[in-house]
Amino acid sequence: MYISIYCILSFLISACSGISVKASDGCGYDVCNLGDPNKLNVHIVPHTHNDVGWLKTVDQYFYGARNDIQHAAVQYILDSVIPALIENPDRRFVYVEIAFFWRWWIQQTEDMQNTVRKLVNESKEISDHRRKNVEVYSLQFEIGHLEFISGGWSMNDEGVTHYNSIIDQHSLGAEFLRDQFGECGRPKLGWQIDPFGHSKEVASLFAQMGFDGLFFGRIDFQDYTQRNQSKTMEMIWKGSYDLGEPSWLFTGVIPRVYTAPQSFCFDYRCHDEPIRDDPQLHDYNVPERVQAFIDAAHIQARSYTTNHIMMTMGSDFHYENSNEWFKNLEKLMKYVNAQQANGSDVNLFYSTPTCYLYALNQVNKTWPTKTDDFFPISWNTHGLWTGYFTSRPALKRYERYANNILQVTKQLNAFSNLTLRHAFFPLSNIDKQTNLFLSLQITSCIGEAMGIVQHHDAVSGTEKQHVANDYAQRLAQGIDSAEYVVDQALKKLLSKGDHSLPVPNQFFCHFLNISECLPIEDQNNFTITIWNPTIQPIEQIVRVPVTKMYTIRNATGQGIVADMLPIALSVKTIPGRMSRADYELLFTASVPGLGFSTYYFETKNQSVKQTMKVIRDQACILQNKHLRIEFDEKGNLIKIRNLDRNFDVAFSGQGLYWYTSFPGNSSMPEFQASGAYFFRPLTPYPIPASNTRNITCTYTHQVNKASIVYNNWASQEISIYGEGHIVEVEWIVGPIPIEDDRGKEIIMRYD
Amino acid sequence: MGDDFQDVNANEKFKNLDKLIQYVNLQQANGSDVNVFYSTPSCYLYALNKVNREWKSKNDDFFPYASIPFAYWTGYFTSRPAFKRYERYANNILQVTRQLNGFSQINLRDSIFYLSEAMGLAQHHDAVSGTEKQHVADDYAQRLADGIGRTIDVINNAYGKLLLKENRTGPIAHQFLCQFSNISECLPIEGQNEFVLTLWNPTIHPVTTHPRVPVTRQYLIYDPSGTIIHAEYLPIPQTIRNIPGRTSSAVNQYVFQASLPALGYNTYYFKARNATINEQIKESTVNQACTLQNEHLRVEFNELGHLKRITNLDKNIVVSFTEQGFYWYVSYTSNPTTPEFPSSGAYVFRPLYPEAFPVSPLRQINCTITDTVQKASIIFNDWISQEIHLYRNASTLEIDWTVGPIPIDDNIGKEIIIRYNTNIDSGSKYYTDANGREVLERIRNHRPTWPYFPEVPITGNYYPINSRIWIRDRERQLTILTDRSEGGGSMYDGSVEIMIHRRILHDDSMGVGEALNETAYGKGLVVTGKHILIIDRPSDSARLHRTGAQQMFMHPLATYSLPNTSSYTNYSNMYKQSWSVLSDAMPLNVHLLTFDQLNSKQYLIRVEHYFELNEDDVYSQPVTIDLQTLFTSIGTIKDMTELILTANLPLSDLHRLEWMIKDDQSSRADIIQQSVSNTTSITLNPMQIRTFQIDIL
Repeated sequence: MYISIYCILSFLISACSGISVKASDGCGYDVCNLGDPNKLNVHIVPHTHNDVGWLKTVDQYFYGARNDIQHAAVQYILDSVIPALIENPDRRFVYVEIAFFWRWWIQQTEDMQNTVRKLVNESKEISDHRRKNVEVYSLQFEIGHLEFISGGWSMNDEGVTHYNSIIDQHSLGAEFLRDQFGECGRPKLGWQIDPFGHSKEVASLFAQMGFDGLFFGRIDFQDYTQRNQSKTMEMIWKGSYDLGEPSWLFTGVIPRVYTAPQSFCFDYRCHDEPIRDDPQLHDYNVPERVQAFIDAAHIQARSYTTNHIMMTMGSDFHYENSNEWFKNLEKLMKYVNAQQANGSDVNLFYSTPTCYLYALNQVNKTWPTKTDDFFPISWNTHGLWTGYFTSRPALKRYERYANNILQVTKQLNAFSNLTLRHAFFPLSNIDKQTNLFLSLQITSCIGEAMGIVQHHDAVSGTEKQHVANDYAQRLAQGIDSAEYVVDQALKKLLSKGDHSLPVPNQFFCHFLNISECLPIEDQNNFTITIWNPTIQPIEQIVRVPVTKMYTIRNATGQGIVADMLPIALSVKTIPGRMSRADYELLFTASVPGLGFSTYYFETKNQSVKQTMKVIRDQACILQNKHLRIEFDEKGNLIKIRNLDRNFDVAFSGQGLYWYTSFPGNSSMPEFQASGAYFFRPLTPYPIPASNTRNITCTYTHQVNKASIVYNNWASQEISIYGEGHIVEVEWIVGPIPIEDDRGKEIIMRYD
Repeated sequence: MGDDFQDVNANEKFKNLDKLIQYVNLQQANGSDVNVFYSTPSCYLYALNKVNREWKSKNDDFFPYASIPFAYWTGYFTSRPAFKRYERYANNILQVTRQLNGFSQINLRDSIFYLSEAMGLAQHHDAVSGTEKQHVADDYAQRLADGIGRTIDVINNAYGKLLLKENRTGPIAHQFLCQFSNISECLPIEGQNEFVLTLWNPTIHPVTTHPRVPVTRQYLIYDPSGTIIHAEYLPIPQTIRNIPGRTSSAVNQYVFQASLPALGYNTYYFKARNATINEQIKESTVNQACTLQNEHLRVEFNELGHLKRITNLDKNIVVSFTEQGFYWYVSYTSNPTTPEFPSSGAYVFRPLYPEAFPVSPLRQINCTITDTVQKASIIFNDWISQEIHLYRNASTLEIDWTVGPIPIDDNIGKEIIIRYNTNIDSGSKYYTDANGREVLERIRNHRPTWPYFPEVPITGNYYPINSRIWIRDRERQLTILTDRSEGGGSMYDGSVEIMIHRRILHDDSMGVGEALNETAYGKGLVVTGKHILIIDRPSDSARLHRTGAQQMFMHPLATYSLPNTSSYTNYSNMYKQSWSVLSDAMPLNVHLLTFDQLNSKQYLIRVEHYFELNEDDVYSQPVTIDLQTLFTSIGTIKDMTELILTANLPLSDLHRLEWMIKDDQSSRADIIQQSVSNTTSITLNPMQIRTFQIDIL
């Protein structure tokens, strides 16, 4: 049996104010309850926050595996919420993380998919009904509403992500939603309730994604207090000075991060009182619960400026048994609203962040503005969310590396016209006829992996180690699938067409960062093909670790000059390096814009005399036409001179230092330990990595470099290449010693 | 596929089971012989029934239960003794209230529902068992109290019809329960000039009972015939007056003999005396040897307070006691290095040593002899005492014990037993009842159906005692009736021990997660209780223990009222002081188990033959009764339908599965359907309960 409700819509007002409302869909602002203008309208927003990996891996979270770590199972959340929405047309639910929704969706029957589509886009009759009724009209719903908000593959981090990948991961989610749900699936606002600080660029990007607003939960505690008192929790954030109004975004700070008012959490993982409303049973608590809620609503309303407030009813992985939430919320709403007969001004109803936003928009008021960002934020006096800017630096680099490959792969797929998008982008596996997904291997999609890794507990470095390993594995498997596409593309692009010889397999050398490429070791000849993904031609220094001597031919067949340099001991001793290469060839490659160049390597029989000069533990100078870099005999960088502009920058100190991590049990703010999220040094004074250092300056045709070794776990190389305008500093840090039981946080300082 | 409180989110289970079933069955294509499907216990049972085979049979029971070595679940037989008694007390009120509702035809069954529901909850295996957390035990008790509170209205409505004489109208004085009578406290009657005690006898046989009425004044007591009766005015023992929480200022109580009609009531009118008179105690001794004696029994104590001998004067049987009194076991505390062996706790009784210690080396005895009652008060220490009562004309002996607060200053958990060591040549055999009905033979350190290794000498020999335990030899039987469920057994030849209270400082790791350390009023909980002792020939014991246990279980219910009639004459003009449902005597071996009015013209009754086969020469025979006898005051039986025990199916519609055991014996019972169409007489065989829906013209 369907239950019908009548929802009063103030369509007339929107029509008069000239806002065009898309007439064909039963979704979005059209289906919003705007409450009672004479009451305090409390938007009850059922939601669940599903981390795309954190304490468990994304797939452990999906299935509910490893519940010994954390009880969380996304499949059951969606299994539970969908029937609950069908059961009661009043109900609303918002869903955010498409990585999970997609996993669930592809396991559903077509019937279930169609049911969910109905929940997202209620019915067409609504618009017909509307046309007939010019004045206030009523809407009849048969089922509840599911709405996607934010709709990225994950809820991306804001502190350590690159805009390229933010756009990609939101586009990935948006593409899925558009394909499966049409316009009703298009998210209308950003929902960044958990990330640890908020970026102005994200605000700007969200405005450009068409979002009408942004809500987030974490803000500096001092900022929060001040905004609470000054009623500036909601504002217009001017996302970009350059872009102006198109970058403006309504932004709201949610109280209590994103949880329910205290004692009103009705998930089994909370231990709050259910609404016990049968007076015949023991411990009837309706009057007390109702009063406590009315009090909570009034307290929250003090921090906000309109007669609308939003109460987020949910938290991490809530709604696994959604009946528990919905059943108690419905009793709460019923009994609190019943108090209106006794003069209560508190008006509760199911809503969504979108409808809350719309209600605010319909209130005729001006809003404060914000032009800076929300970094860094403090949790409390001693807990600053600044450690995660650096935590897991290897994963942070790997994420950039994987993105580099993803972008190149997209280009190669397209320019070679291979149509292999499904190999790196899961959504292209959908069968457009049936809307069902073709068989696919999720783990091998680099596009999906990159979407997941943007999560605010992924690239942020704030996940458990086994989860970090899972992220890295996903990227690695994704890169493998990308390698296949790259190979296929280059086979088309490299072939001259009339040649019968097959193009040899193209492979990546993933360990070039430690000067290792095993497949080419001892080979008589091999090629390197370099794809330039920018639209400008580039000149690039290439370093190739080798075990033999080679002559190198460029793309036109001409032999080119290459330097042969010993691989630094600090690189060769990195644990896990297996290469026998002691030297690397260094040459300058020229690659056309959006194109490739191939370099052909051929074994050289006779050895060539090296024209290399080495100076050890003496003052030395690196110099080319544009730059002059001076070191003293102790290995200190003294001065960099811009020869073109004729000025110096003098250095009083340059090098590696470390802070001692604050040890503590984090039981109280003053005992807050430094950790994955927080950077809290024991003292404000960093300690040099070593008191003395060794310096070796090396001069060849192509490079001048100073290798400075601080100790057996920290070193740097400062190089200028050819006639370059920039100085490169490459650092190697680790294994950081902990025999002294002190955590260490390594910094590079330029004084 | 489930466990405690699982399936809150059933989808989690079903979704994965569906997958498991699908993928396991798929392996059949690869030769797997495993075939998985959803089923129910009923379907599994039916599948077994459809397999043509003979099944093993079993005659004894599955007590005691040991889940792992040294963990015998025998502690819960006694855990929370106060609650175990309260459950019996509440049931007593429930059954009486059903009768009053039915016989007064007031049709207030809905008001009794609350107590029925609370009793239903209290039967749970973590409720009356005592294995729940303290706050849950409190909740169960509160529910019973609430349920009892709601029966007051039914009791008053019923008496409103039953008490008034013909042609009299008007409201009756409010009837109330004195629920603290067990600690000799009844505040509403304290200091009153007059009050009335009404006693309802819920059995279908006349009974003699000995009410104790705590008072702050002296009274004349009028029996239903208007005769001022002889009542003893006795001091309330100091051990009772010291019980924490007692607020009464009464220091004396009246004890008198009340003979009640079958299934009916007597009222006793109390009128304050104008002048105080002296006590009528015949004889009183302190720390001297003494003897309690009536025409049936002689009970002898020595000067040290030890029970030495009980003589059944009718049968000329003597049982000597080498010891009778209180002992305690040290509760075992789990060693952290062997967590697999749990502590003694709410479930598990595990004594540290196989010997129990006497609670005191010395005791005081105080004997009091009156016409109505002769008693020996024996104080063991400042937390244990007993009063042994021999009433006028009584064939049994009553022991009222008071235990607590059990001291724990030594950080040792204690489990208190009462022990009866006799010279009965019982060997290793003893007998305990199952749920108050049939009795099973127990043999020390032995199990009937498997080779039992007696790894523990005490706890492995404990059995539930729901109503009685006995030991016997050829000539003599000592039967002990309990007023609640307790645990116990015979640890030595000629000895019976019964655990009556426990205070333990550790959890036994069986789930409750709380030490069984009951307190009240900031002190360890004090519990009082009763044992009834029967000394008789084995062949004559059943008629005493069957009737005695039934009378304790279905005890006369005392209600009080303040009639404000100012004189007995005024009262007797207004009210019937004695009334019985029955005009004819009912056979002694029949018990009215249930009398419940379903609606104005429909009743549910259960009648029971409560003797076992071969227990008694006379009473172990089939018996025929006329159910119309029960309905004389109500009307004529129009129709009666025999139902199954739970009253949810006509017996004639019952078809149970047939099972085979060896030698081609079938479980199929040829139900002899007594035709009930033309007669209201029915026959009961030993231990048979028959359930009827009765329609009245």
